[in-house]
Amino acid sequence: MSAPLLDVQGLTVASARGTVVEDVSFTIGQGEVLGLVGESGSGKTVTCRALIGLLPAGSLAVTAGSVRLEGREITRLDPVALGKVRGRQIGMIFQNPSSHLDPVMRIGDQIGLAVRHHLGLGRREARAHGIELLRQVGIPDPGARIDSYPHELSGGMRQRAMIATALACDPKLVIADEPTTALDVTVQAQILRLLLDLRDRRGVSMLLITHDLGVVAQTCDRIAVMYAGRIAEKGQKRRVLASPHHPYTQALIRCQPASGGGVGLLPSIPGQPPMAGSMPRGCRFHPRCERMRPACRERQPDLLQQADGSEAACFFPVSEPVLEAAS
Amino acid sequence: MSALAASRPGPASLPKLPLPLVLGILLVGAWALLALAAPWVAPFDPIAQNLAVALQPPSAAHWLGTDNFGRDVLSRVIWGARVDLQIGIIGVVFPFIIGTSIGAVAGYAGGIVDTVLMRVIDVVLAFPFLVLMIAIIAILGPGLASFYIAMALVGWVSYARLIRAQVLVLKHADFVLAAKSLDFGHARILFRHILPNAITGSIVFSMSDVVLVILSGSSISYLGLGVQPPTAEWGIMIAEGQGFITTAWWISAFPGFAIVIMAFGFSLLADGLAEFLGVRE
Amino acid sequence: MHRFRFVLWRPLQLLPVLFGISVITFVLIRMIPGDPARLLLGARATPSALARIREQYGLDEPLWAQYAYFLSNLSQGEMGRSIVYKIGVLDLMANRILPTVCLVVGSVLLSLLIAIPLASIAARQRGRTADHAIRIVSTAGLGLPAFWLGIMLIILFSVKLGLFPVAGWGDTWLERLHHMVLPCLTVALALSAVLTRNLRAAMIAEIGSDQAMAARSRGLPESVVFRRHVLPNSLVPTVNLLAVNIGWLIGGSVVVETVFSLPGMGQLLVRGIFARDYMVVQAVAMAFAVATVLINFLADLLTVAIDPRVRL
Repeated sequence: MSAPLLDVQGLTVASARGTVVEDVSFTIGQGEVLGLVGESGSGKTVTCRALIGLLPAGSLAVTAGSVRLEGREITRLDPVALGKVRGRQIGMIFQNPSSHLDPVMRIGDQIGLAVRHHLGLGRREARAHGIELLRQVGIPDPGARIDSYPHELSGGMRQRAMIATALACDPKLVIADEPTTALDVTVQAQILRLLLDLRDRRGVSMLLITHDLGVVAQTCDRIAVMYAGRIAEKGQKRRVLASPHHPYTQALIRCQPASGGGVGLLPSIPGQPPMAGSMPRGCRFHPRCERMRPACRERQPDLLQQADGSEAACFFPVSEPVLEAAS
Repeated sequence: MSALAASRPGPASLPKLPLPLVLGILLVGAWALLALAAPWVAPFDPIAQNLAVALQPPSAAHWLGTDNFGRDVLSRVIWGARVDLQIGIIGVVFPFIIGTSIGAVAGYAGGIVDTVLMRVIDVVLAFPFLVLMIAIIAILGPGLASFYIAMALVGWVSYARLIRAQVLVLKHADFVLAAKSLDFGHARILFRHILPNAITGSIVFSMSDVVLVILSGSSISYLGLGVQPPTAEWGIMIAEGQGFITTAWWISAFPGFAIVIMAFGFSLLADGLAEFLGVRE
Repeated sequence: MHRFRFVLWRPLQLLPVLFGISVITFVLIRMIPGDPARLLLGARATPSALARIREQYGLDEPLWAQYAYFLSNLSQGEMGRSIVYKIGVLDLMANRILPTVCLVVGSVLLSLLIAIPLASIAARQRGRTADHAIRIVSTAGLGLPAFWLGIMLIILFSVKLGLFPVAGWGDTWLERLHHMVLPCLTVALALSAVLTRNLRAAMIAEIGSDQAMAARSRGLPESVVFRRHVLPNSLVPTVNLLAVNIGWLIGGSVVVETVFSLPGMGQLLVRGIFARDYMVVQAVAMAFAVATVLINFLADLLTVAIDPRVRL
């Protein structure tokens, strides 16, 4: 395997109250899809904002760690150099296409602004480029839709338009932050299929942020599970889903509705995830963990390689598989 | 509402007050003190003429100079605070009471009463505020009393609209439905349960409205339709000074600064109160 | 352009408001104590003229009939004669519209020229010295009396520096432009305080909005994000604010016309009141109200034009 496209090492993000993301490391290879999974508030969105330098100024800042894109450090770039990474090399897809698209600007202009800025195309070329992009993301009648305003499109079409803006300058990496959460269930699968299709055709790598293990199962090559700002477990998707080692991952999998559709309430994890600034001592999951032992209150476990190649941060990892086989 | 309960204004919670609110209270308080103490603070009689010292520039004897009748501008500015503060307060109190009552009843009653009220408000708002004021004062005859009547006739619409919108929302709130289920009378539900919760926005608005009323009052006096000479009032002083702009700029300049500073106090009060009560304008 | 279809039916909705305006102006004049015929014609009117106006306005008949006469006269474009100028009120107003329109339009444009840069600086440097200074000045500016500001500008620019005329209007367009600078600046400065405060708040909200964040994620420089995404979105509420304030603006122009002796509608109104020229007062008040309604209609059009989401 060649050098990874994106190499994140020990990334730490802090606010005034404490660290929000701590010692996060992962890599994404060429054409690979990594799923970053966790509950809301686990720090996954902050992690991906930190990657492209879009943390809210003044309240959050990267305090340690490195982010390398094709071997080049990008956490300490000046705004101009960072601007050449954003959009040009890393594209970003947001959760809510309704609020993340400019309501008073035509779709074509939103794509065109980025294209003209990064690729130096003229008005007419940018427009042709935009139409081609809309066609690629599966928007019917792209020649007419390029002049539409976001509110004139349906939710699914709006998300396709946003994907087009992210892909406008042919980035090598796409970060998708909960790309299907705001959409109807029927549209979710279409959008996921589109993302995989784009990966296959364009060879882009993808960082997919989601709280939904079902989405992960359908799309990702590898998974990193986050809990309270730290990575709890990471590894190959099939292995992690079939035999999770971290009790949190195990609990997450148990909470997923089975596709067969069982009767009765789904199990849930008791308690609430901790907030930044009031993190428990020791393992951050111990107050909610059914396998908790005294040692878990004392020290923070490191990510350790397990027998099957996955890595988990737990002193007392689970070893028996929970599912017969992953999807 | 929770902000109100959590931190009652008092010595203990004083440091938590927003800075604009503190500055606004100080500024408005200073003007109020000055207005009350005018007979003792003002160095000269604001009305007595002394042509021997007419049109003198600011000096040690007359800090802000004298006007064409030899009256001390500083003394007139201080006495003027009485009139203009009174204009600002009375000019807001009546529209507030009238508008709040009408708007609350209409919003609560709904139906034809509400529809008629909204149409009346549309028509009153169609007139430029000052134009309608001037027209009403023209009919009643110039003077401060006419100004207050005109203010009440025109100014209530803003309060009626504000409170009506709040009442429309609150009348379907859970605590109101609970009060209804206890078979309380309409009057009690409206005035004891809905109004106290609906009124915060109007109170904040009334503070910024004081600014508009003071500006309107002094404008009307400037045009010669409000307070009549020789009373010391800032708008009149500015009008009287306009004849001497080439020789005695201070006659017009200082009363204007007084208006700006007093209005600034009320604007800060409005901003600070909005922040303190968590009201968005 | 189906979004603009409201242009056809909205004027019909305005009819009740126009009807209300006519009722209020009618009632206002009839509330004046004394013989209405004498009020309308002045103290020195001849008996035959008094008889004529009694008949024309039905002044001997009940109030509702008088209102019907008033409306029928109005529909024929008959709004009476000025007792001071001895000409028809409509002709009189026709000569006075231009300065007022120039004043209102000029000051709106000028106030935007002042408010947009100030609000942009404050919003982009939020929390820093420039922002604090602009916030304090614009809050203090809320209480600027336009008539006083006008006099101060006259003292500074006309008396001390001799740059602009003290008062009046002028015959050629160049002269008029020269005469309009100070009056427009007066109203614009007073208006820009409100505009700056609101624009700043709108811009700050837009700078932190999801769509601005998305634009940044596409690598656009902050200046482009501001100009192309933040500014257009924050102008939408500002147009509404201008429309709401148009009545206030017209009121302010009445006073400012008096300060600068501009021969406009506002001056006509004020002089009409002192001369007890009630036909003029009635007509001007009505004209101002109708103008306010029309301007609000235009603001609706403008909102639909700049915000594609709005449907009326």
